Amino acid sequence: MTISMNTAQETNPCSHRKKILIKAPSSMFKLNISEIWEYRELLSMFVWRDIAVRYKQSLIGIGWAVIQPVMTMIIFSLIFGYLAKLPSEGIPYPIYTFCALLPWNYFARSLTDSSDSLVSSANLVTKVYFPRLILPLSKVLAGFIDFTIAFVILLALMVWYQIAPSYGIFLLPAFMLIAILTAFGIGLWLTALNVKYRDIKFVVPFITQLWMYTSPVAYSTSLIPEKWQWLYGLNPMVGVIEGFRWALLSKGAPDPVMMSVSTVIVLIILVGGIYYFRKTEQTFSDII
Amino acid sequence: MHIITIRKLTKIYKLGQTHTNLLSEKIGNKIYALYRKLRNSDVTENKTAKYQKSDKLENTIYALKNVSFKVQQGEVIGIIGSNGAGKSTLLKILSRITTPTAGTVEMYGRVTSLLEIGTGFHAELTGRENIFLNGSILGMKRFEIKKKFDEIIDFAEISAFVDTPVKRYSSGMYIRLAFAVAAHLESDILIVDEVLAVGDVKFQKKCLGKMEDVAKKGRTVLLVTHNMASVAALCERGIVLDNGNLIYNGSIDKAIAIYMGENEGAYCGSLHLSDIPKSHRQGNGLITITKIDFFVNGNDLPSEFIICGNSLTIQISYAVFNPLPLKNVNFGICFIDSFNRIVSRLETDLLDANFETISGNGSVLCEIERFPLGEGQYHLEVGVSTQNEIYDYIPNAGSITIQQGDFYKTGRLPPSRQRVFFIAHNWRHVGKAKNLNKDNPSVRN
Repeated sequence: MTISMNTAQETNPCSHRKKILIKAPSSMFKLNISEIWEYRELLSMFVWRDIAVRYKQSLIGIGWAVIQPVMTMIIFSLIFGYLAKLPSEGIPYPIYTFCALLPWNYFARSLTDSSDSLVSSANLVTKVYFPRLILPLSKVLAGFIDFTIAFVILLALMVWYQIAPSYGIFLLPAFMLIAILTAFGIGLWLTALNVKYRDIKFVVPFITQLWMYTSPVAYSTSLIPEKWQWLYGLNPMVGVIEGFRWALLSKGAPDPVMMSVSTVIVLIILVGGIYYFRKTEQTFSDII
Repeated sequence: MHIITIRKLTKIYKLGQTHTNLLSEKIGNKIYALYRKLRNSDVTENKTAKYQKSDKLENTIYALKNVSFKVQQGEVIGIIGSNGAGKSTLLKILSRITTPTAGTVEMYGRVTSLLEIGTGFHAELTGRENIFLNGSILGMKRFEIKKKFDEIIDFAEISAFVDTPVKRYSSGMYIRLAFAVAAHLESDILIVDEVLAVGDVKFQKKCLGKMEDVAKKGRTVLLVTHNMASVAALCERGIVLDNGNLIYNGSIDKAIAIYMGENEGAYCGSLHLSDIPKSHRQGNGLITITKIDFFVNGNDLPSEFIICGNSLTIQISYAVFNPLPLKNVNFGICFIDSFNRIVSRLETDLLDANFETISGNGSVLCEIERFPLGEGQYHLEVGVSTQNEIYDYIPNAGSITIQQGDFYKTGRLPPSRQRVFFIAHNWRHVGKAKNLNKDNPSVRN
């Protein structure tokens, strides 16, 4: 659908009003960022709703945002750290893995939620108009609340283990941005595909699980043979996790080549995702 | 200058066939085609061809065909048509939920659409929170919602429960809240679909009142509903859609008449009796009843809907096979309910209203001011006679359906198990009981 928001030039009683033109979808690709900006209030309402609803009518409530990552950390420490004795580059294993869980949990959650965002809001999509893009976007943004809580836990762990961050901490937002864009980019693909093929719903858990094992969440990148490192770098989450460990735990800096590869990959996924989403957007309400 | 201009709007739905450039799906389609081929291989060639042909036709549906019309600012337009006529598709295109296949729409100003009320309500959130959420979804700005918040609460009559999650609301409260938010939208163009079909009658009336206010404020309203009474009350102009075509655009009364007429199927509104064979009739056949038509509320066209409490005119048409005029002719009709009870018999003889002379073909009219029978199916008997001979008598002249109607004009009816027919009556309060029977000692005070 193409909606042009230009003000009509002719002098007529409607001239002060916004003109809306509805016509058959053209093959031209329009990003229409300005429209998303126009709907920013609705976007913030969606984000607020997701946060408000997430822990309603649960006994522990927001406490789950603490328990979930801590439990994972304990399980990983027992299995991978204590039993499997995976190396952690001289850093205590619990904080080593928690530092990776921080961006990873955010990523996995955002990916899962955003890939389901359109189908789970089918009642909205078929009844009200708004730029559909804000649905997956709101899911990615809502994940910040859990991330922030987990971050505070990490700071407490750092104090406990007496680990100081490196100057790389200033680059932390950049690493986070890569995680956000990756989750959003992949989420766009999956949620648009999910509208048409509900198979996606079953595929997403596999994707996140597989993705976790191909990311250095429970282990160190050093386990990957040198000659395969470049291939490993194709996974943007590798750079993100390496970056987090570098910034917060003063571990060696991530390879800049690998980081560049990651960034390029992310951008390709994201642009492709937006394009595919925008292209199929018009048919959502007909086939959802 | 028109606030809405719709030009040659067309929407085609493709069913059962998807088309994308995805490789996986193309492979899938191939496999599916092969599977169908295998499945159909045991069917005769002819049948396969027929099946495929009908399948092809079913694949494309014209939900709208070249629909064009213009709307002036401040107009309230009712869009009517039977199910599947394309009303909802039109509203969905205007609401920008779906795109047209061809044609354009030009609109000026802020458009809000109410295709359902309470869109996006979240059961876990409180009434207050849902007002903000639902308001935003409907396109209101935060400050507008804040400004109107108290008004909304008052309108919905839920002020005591504003901080209770809506999942604890009764369905009535839920609907009231949902409508209240919608009713307070500020927009230039309001698109409404069937939302009046909710809630209790009292609340419906309140909503109708609110809608009238909206219309009076100079806002443009497009309204889709099956409730002809509300369409007639609210709209000046009506648009009738039939099978995706716009078949009428003009005064609302005419539009309703056309819609009602169009709804009249082969057997509705009229009972054609000329084909009933002699074996199913009694009488000498000097006069033969050929047709019965039912007209509701003085409409020109026979109506499928015979509505309880509304005026009904029954027209009995006949053919005369006697060269000489017939004297003192009696027409009668009986209503038989689904328990095979004759519930009422209308006859000219009983009213001393026999027709003095009948010569040549014609018809007689029976006028009922407020049709009193409750809703349901009724069989009809019809006959014409004199004191001495029966000309024609059809014991099974067909059946009619009476629709539930607002008999008492209050919007309220007794429960369906406590009504078979209605009695027009009055209630009065006289303070002291009237001593109707002075000899009866039991009536005192």
